[in-house]
Amino acid sequence: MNMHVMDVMDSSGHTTVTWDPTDEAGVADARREFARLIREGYQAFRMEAQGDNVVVENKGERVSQFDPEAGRLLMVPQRVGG
Amino acid sequence: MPIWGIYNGGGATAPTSVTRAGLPRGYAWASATSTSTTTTNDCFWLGAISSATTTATTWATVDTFANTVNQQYWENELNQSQYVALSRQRVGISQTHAAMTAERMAEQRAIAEQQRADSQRRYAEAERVREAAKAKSRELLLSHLTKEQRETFEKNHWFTVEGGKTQQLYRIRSTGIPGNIDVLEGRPGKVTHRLCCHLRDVSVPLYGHILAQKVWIERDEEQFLRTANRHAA
Repeated sequence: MNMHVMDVMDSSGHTTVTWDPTDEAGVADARREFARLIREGYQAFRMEAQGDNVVVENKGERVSQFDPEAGRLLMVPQRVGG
Repeated sequence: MPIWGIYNGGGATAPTSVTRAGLPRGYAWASATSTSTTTTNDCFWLGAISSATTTATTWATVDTFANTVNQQYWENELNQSQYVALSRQRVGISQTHAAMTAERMAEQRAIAEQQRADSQRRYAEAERVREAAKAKSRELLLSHLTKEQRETFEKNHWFTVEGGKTQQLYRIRSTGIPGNIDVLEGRPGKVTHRLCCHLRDVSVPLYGHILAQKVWIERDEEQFLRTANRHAA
């Protein structure tokens, strides 16, 4: 099973949503969660990960659509200047 | 504080402003039995015990027709045996009162102690949750750092990041959130100014802010620079 991961930053440190791209129900759940977070003002970043989900530095991009094939997504809440 | 007193009620009927039910805790009511055509005696005994009521009526009377107190303290009018009885009753009342006070204070101490323990337990639980969240966010941050970044972070509590668009070098310090991003000139460079930009949700643990800053600089530098406030070095 090839699990894909969405890390969501929150007050608990972070929560993780996982899905298997071949499992339609799992993909639908992840897509719903992604859409909800975007509505809440989160930014989504696609991270390039290798092996055991180790992020490859300086690769990846900001995305606005859910891609079930994305290896690892990082959901970042709204920012503010301080 | 008197251990007994007199109710000066109005009219010949039972007092309305002070009733048996309305007496404070530990106070008992005594009503005079002697009634004439002109006077009705009402009195109450403060802190009294029920056995004292009969004697009490002989010690304090109120003319509720005239609405005046006939007698208040007539210890000097008592005979020897009455005085001894009064003294005994006062001692008893005093002891009862002291016991009740001690009991009330003990109850209050127990309640305060319970509240303090509850408060400490809630604080400890909140602290445990905060620490767990911090550890979890640190773990996520570390999983996004390169080997070099992880080493400088572990050693110095900072790491450097290159801007995804400008290749500008930034140093993110993890000692706090406000103004924790140094803009560097040269490599390794001196600090030209500092930037302040963080998550709006301050309930996210520190390392969540640090990771967000890293990701913004690397993957969304232009928007990040528009949002960030500049501060002198």
